[in-house]
Amino acid sequence: MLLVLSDDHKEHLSFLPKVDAAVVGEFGRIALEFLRRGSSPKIYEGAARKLCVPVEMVQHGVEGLMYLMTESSKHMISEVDFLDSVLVLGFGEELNQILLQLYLQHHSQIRSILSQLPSNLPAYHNLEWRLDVQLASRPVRQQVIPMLTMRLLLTGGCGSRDDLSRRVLQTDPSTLLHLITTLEAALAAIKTNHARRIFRNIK
Amino acid sequence: MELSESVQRGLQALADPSAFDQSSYRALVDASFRSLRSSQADPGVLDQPELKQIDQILLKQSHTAATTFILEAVKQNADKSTMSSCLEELSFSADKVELFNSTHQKHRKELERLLASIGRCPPQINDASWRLQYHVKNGQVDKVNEPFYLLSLNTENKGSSEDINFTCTVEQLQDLVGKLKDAAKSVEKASQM
Amino acid sequence: MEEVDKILIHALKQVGTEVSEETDSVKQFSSELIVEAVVRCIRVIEPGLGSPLPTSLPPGMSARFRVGMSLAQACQDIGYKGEIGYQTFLYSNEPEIRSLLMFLVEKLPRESAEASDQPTGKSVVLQRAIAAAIKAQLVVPWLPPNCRLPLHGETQSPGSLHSFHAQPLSLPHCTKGPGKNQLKEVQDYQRDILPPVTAQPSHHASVVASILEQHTAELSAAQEWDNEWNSQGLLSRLTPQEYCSRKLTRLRKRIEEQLRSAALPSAESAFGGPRSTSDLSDLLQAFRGSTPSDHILTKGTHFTHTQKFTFTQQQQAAAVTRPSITAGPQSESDIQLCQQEEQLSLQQQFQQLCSDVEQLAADMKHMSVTNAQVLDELKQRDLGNSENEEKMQVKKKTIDLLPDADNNLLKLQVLVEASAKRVVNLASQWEKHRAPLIDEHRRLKEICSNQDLESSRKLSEIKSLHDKIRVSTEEAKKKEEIYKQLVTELENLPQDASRSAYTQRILEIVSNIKKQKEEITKILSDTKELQKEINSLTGKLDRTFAVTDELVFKDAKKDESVRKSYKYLAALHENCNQLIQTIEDTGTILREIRDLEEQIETENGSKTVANLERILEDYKAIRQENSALAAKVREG
Repeated sequence: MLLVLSDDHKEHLSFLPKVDAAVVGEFGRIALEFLRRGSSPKIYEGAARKLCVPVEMVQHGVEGLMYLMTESSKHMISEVDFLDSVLVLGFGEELNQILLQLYLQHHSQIRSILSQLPSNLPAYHNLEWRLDVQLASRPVRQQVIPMLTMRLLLTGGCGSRDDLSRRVLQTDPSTLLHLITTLEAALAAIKTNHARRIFRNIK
Repeated sequence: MELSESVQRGLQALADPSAFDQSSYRALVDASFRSLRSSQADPGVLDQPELKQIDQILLKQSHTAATTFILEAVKQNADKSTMSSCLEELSFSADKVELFNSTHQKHRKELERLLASIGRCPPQINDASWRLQYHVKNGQVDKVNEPFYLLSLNTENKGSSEDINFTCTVEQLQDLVGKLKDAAKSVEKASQM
Repeated sequence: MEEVDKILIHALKQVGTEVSEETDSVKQFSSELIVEAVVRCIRVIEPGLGSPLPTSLPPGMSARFRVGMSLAQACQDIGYKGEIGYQTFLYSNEPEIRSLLMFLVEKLPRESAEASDQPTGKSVVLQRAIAAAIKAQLVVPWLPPNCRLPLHGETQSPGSLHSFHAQPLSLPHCTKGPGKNQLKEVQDYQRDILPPVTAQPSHHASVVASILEQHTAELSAAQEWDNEWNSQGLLSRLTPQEYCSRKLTRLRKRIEEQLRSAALPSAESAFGGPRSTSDLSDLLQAFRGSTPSDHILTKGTHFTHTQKFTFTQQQQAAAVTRPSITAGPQSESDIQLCQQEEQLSLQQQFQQLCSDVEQLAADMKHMSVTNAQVLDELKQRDLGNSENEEKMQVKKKTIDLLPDADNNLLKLQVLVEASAKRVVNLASQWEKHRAPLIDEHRRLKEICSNQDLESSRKLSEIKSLHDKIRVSTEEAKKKEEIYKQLVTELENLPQDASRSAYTQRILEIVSNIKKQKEEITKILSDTKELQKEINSLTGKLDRTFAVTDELVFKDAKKDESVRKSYKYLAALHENCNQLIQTIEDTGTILREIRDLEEQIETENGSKTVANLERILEDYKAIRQENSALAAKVREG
């Protein structure tokens, strides 16, 4: 599969052959840094001053690189496809190799960054439990109610990224057994031939 | 069982054969239990032909005392002998005690449940359902190709139910099941003491 | 053996083995039953060892073999010395099983006795209750929430539906009680309008909570009062009602003081906001109004009077100004001007009035102060005046007496003497009266102090009595609780009269043994006697034979016929000896036969043939299983 680059994108990247290979490498580093931490315009200004070119040019170059990297990582294109895609830009062999190295070294990391982007449901993180027995309450002075109190820790969810949300839940022993059987059935489902066949065929 | 002065007075009035004869006594005891058990407040619970000739203030006092006594007995988990001795101390006659006890026995379970349902606790998990999904791709990443589970815990709190939805990978689900099994094992161990 | 078996079966039943009613000896035990019994015993003796063992035999032959091995291992671990292996369980033989079960049962009672000897305190009872509750819940099958009937509520998910929300209830007061002098309207309300308590709370779910809370509040109030009365009320030597009312007035006074001290500065600093202070003074008034003693109500303080006065004055002023504002609607053009003018003038007027009022108020304050001062001065002047008047009268009298001085002096002297005498006289009389009075006074004082002492002694007695009452009620409660606990424990104990049955059986066995012993000794003595007799007879025989032999031998030399008879004698002797030998031999053979028969019996008891057959069958089964497995392996 080849990447189809838009004209704007090509124009933005056309800045790259005009500068040193070392500078391109530096741009690549900056692009990756920005993907990880977010961009900062100050760095553009500094680079533009050093190279004596307009700020927009540097910005376009770096952003073009970022886009190139994310797009190729998104589709996980092969080495050959990447080179073929870049070929359209008409860069020199050396520059293409630099870009390829950049892609090969960092595509897994970029993928992991990208995979955090979609709006996720809260995900399971941990479960803490203890066995409680309620022995008395305000209206009843003698009871024995065994209860399993659990704290379900969930990560993510809409809006609240990175922080855990805690849910305190209770259940009685018989429901606990039921939960276990239900979830074990879920675990067993992935080992069935049907599921395996589907997984195999999709790949 | 400790009873306050006003309750004692109300019950003594109830014990007094000149104030409550057998039929009105039965009617009042029935009304007391009914008024506690019914799900709707019924202001006319004491409007009964058997209770018409009794002084309304006295009637209301006795009703209050009887309901309080019933609830206290359930609250303290008083057995039959305790209740009988308590009523006998308040000069109840034997057949009145007997009638009270038998009526109480009839409603006891339900009243216990009623009292036990008062209180607060975290949401209760009632059920769980799951869905096995295969993550193929999304707007940002292609070729993810990972199976994952969508779990939904059905919880209930104060009569209203809520679903807690979350995703987990196969490993996470194994972790979850392992922890729940641990819990079940310790529960079982606790039951063998 | 039957006795032993009965005891064994009883013990096994106690452990939880399901032994059917028909089986009453170990002989009838099947392999399954033996395995179950042994596993249950091991579980009781050593739970760690017994819990992984299954109580029933698995269907597969090889699995059975493994179970038998592990069981045998477990028995040896516990300390069974006898011969044991898988064959003990799978191909049972009565005496082996009996000895094994006896060993296990012997191990059992000690354990359970230790368990029952443990002080079954509250915590143990509680733990057992918890364990039982959990067990009950684990057994209950899970039901989807909307299929749950209220019946299951107690065991499954007793989720709380309502929170404990209490509302104040209004209770009809007892007409017989202290509230006799209730208002008729209140009584009418309670009789006709007031709904029964269960209908009072706005939300029906809070009925229970409200009633319980009301009762708890009443109880705790009564308890509080009891405590206070015992600690302080008794010492004050008042009746409860007096004590109460005194406490009430004291409290009111304190509240009043606090309120006043809080209200005063604001009243002085902010004259413009008399409302809050007047509210406060109203409150104070209300406090005073509700006190039972009327004298406080009528008194009223200077402060409240002034407050009231200023407040009403302002109201009046406002009332005066209001109509002038609304008066006179005129033509529209003029109206605004007019109104503005009017407003201005009115404002001016109002300000004027305000300042006037302020000035007047200040004047009034000043006046009232000066007035008080003047009044004081007046009083002082009046006092001075009357003093002066008295002085003047004395002086006037002396001046009147001056002209006839000598005469008057004499008269005066006589008078003075007379009065001196009278004074002396009076003093002696006083003395006379005084002595008994003082005595009386002392006596009364003494009595008084005595009574004081007595009363304080009684007070302390009462106090100690109260303490004792409390202590004994507590003790009684404790004992009652212990009694209840013991009763429940007793109910929980396994209901069997095994102890007496055991002892009876043991006694029976002992008496049996005694009887048998007696018989044995009898038989022994009989045997001994017989032996003795035999011995004496053999002796006699020997001696007789020797004598006869000698005699006949002597004669045999002389006489031919005698010699023949001697030969016969010898033959007879020999034959008899042989006979005896044969008899003895028969006896030994008979004994051997009996021994053999016994052996056959025991061999029959160990079911060798049946077991052998079973072993053969099992061997075949294992072979089949093995071949099936092999086939599977080949297939896989």
